[in-house]
Amino acid sequence: MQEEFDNLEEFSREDTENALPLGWLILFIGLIVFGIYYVYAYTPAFTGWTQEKQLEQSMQDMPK
Amino acid sequence: MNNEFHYDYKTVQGFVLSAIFWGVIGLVIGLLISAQLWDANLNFGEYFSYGRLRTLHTNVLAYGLGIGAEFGLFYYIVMRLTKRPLVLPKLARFHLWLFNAGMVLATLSLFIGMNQSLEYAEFEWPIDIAIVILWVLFAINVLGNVFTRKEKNMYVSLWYVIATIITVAILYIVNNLAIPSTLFKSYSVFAGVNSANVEWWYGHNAVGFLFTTPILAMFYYFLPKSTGLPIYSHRLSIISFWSLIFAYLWTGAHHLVYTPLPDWIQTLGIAFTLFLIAPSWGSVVNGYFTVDRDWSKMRTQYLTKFFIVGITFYGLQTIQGPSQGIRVISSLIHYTDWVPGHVHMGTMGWVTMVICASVYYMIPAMYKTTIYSEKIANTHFWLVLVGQLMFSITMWITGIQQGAMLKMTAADGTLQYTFMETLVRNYPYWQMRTVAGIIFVVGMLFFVYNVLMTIKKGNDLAKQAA
Amino acid sequence: MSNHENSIYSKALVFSVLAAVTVLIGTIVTVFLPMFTSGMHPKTENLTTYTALQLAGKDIYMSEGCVNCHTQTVRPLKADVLRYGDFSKAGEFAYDRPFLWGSKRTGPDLARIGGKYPDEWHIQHFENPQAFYPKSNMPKYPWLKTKKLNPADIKAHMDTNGFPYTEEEMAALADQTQLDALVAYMQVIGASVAKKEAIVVDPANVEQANPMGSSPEAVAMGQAIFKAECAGCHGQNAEGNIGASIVDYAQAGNADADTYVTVANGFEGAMPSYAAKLSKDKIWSVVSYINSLKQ
Repeated sequence: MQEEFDNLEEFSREDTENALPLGWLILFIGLIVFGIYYVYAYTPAFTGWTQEKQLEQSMQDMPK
Repeated sequence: MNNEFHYDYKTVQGFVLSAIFWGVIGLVIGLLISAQLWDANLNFGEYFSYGRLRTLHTNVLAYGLGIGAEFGLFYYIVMRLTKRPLVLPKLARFHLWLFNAGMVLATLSLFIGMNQSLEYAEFEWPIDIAIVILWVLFAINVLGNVFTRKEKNMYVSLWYVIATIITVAILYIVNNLAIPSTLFKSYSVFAGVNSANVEWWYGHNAVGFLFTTPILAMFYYFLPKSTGLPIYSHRLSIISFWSLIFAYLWTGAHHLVYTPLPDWIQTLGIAFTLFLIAPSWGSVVNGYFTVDRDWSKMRTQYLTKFFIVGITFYGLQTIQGPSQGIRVISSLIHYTDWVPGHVHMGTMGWVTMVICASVYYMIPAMYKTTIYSEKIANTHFWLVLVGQLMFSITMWITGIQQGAMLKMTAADGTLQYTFMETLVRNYPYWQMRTVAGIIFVVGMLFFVYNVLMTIKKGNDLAKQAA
Repeated sequence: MSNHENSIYSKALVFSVLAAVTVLIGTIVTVFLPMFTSGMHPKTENLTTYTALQLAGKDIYMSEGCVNCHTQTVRPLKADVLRYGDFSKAGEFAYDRPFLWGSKRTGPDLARIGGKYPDEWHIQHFENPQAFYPKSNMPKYPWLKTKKLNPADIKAHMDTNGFPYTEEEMAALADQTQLDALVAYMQVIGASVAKKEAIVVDPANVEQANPMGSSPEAVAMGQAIFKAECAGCHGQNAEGNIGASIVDYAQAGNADADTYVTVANGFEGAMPSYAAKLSKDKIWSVVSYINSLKQ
C-alpha cells in the first residue's frame, strides 16, 4: 500500500518569512515592562505592601 | 511523493471514537449537574449527588474527551509530520485499550468517592499509576517517531507536542506524589500552604499543557492543511512558543490570590499571568494573518470558521484569564460563577471547537473521502457557538452580580445581603445555563452523527474498491 | 519555515532538553525552591493533629466532593472578614494533606464553621438542608447516618499521617457513623485560632428601647428575617427546635437591649453572631418580631 506524504514545503513556503507585527511586539515588550513594575510594587520585600496591611486600611472605618 | 508503508489509522480512529463516547457521557453528566444547582431534588442518592458528579463531569471530559482526542490526533499529526508509521504500532493499540479500561476504572472510582480533592487531579493513586503508564506508552511512540523521523525539520506542531509530553509528565507526577494508605486512599506528601502552591502550579498548567499547547499543535497543523494557506510568520511562531512555555509555569499562584500563600509568590504569579497575553496573542495574530491572505475561505472552506472562531475564543480567553488574576478583579469574581463561565468559554469555544474541526479534517483524509455533510457540520457549528456564548455570558453576569452583592455593605458598615439572598439570584441564570448546555449538547450530537456517517461512507468506499 | 541547516528545530534531543529546561525555570523558582523554606511549612501554636474521628470526617468531606462547593479560606478582604470571621492564617493547615481551600463558593466558606453551630445543627442540616434554608441547593446526605465507620481503614489512615491515637479511641469508632465523623470534622475546622468577629456589639452602647418600635412593618420585616435565618433552629413559628422556643422567650419579657445583644453577638458553640451580617435596623426588627410573640 502506498501513502501520500504531507508536503512540509507547503508549511514552509517563503511566505512564512514575515516579520513580527509591530503592534504585537509593542504589546510583548509593554507587558514585560509592566510585569517588572508590578512585581516591584506588590512584593513585600521591595515596597512593604502586604495583603494584611491592605485589609487593615479597609477596616479602619468599621463601627465598633 | 509516495512510499511503501501505511499509517496506523486504526488506532487513531479508535481514539477518536473513544473520545466521542466519553465526551457524550461527560456532557450528559454536565447537563444533570447544571440542573442540580437550581433544584436540589435532582440529587439522586449517594452516587448521583452533585459532589460526586461534578468531579466526574470535569474528569470524564478532560481525560476522556480531551486527552482521548489528543492521543488520536497527535498520533495522526506525528505520523504525518515525521513521514513514517508509528515506531511501535502494537504498543499504540495496547495504549488505546488501556486508555478505555483506565477510563472505566477511573469513572467507577469517582462514583464510589475515591477523590483526592485536588482539582483536575482527583484520581486516587491506583488510577494515577495507570495514567502515568498511559502517558509513557504515548511518549514512547511519539518521541520514537520524532527521533527516527524521515523529515529533517520539526514543524511547529511537533514543538507543541514535545512540550506537552515533557511538561504534563512533570506536572502530573509531582502533584500526585502521595503515600498510599489503603487501596482506596492516599495522603499527599505535601501539606497545607505548600500543597496549595503545588496543586495550582499543576492545576493551571494542566490547563496550559492539556488544553492550550495540544490544541495549538492541532491549530498550526490543521489550519494550513484545511485552508491551503501556510502560517503567516515562522518567527512569530517561534517567539510565541518559547515565551508561552516559559511563562506558563510561573502563573499557578493566580488561583491563590488573597489566600495565605506568601504575597511574593502571588505577585510573581499575577505578573507572569498578565505577560501570557503576549504569547497567546502571538498565535491568535498568526492565525488571523494566515487567513488574512484570503478571507473568502471563511465562506468557501467550511472548516476555516471553526479554526478562526476557535482561535478568537482563545484570544478572548487569554485576555479574560489574565485580567481575573489581577487582585482587584480577583477580589470581586473569584469563587463566583464568573470562573466556570471563563473555563467553559475555553473548553466549549476553543478546545472542543478546534478538536471537532481537526476530526472533521482528519476522518475524511484517512478514508480518502469527503465529509458526510457540510450542512450538518455548519448546523453543529452554529449550535455549539450559540450554546457556548449563552453559557458563558449568563455565568459572567451572575458571577459579577453575586460577587458584588457579597461585597456590598449597608450604611452602618454591616453586610447588605445574606449568603442565601445572593445565592437565589443565581437560579434564573443557572436555568438559562442548562438551556445553553442543551443547545450545545444537541450541536455536539450533530457532530457525532456526522463523524459516524463519514466513517460509514469511508468503509463503504473501501468495500467497493476491494 | 526556513531550512536553517543547524537550527534546534532539526535536532530533536537538543530541542527536547531546551523545552524541559524552559518549563523547569518557573517551576523551580515558584514551587520547588519555596518548598525548602520555613515560610511554606508554618504551624499555628494551638494547632493539634486530627483525632481518628475527625480524620475520618475529613476523608468523607473529600470523598463526597464537598470541596466543589465550599472553600476553606477566608480572604483578607473586608467583606470576607465580615461574613466569615478572621482571615485564614498559613499555619492553620499544617495537617491537611492536601489543603482543602477549594475554588468555588456555591455554598458559603467553611474556614470558620467549627464551633459556629451546635452538633445537632449539623446533624439536621446534613439530613435536610432545606429545613434550614428552604431555597438552599445543597444536596441532602441521609445515607451518612446509616453508614458505619471502618476502624481498620481509619487506623491505617492515622498511621500514614503519623497522628497519635489511643486504642480506646479506635475501638469507639466501630459504633459511630459517617455522620458522626463528618460533624466532628466540621467542629474542628478553624479551631486552632481564636474566634474573632469583625463586629462585636458592646452592650453599653445599645439603645435601651427598640428604635424600630412595634409597628406592623417592623414586625413583618423581622418575621421575614427570622424565617430565612433563624427558623431552622428556633422553628418556623418560633416554637423552638435545636434552639430555645422564642415564644417562651418572649413570654419571659426580656429587655429589648438584651435581645438585641443576643442576636448580634450570639453564643459561641450554640448560636452564630449576626452583628456583621445584619444591619442594626434588621436586628431591631427581629427584636420587634420577637416582642410580637408575647401573648
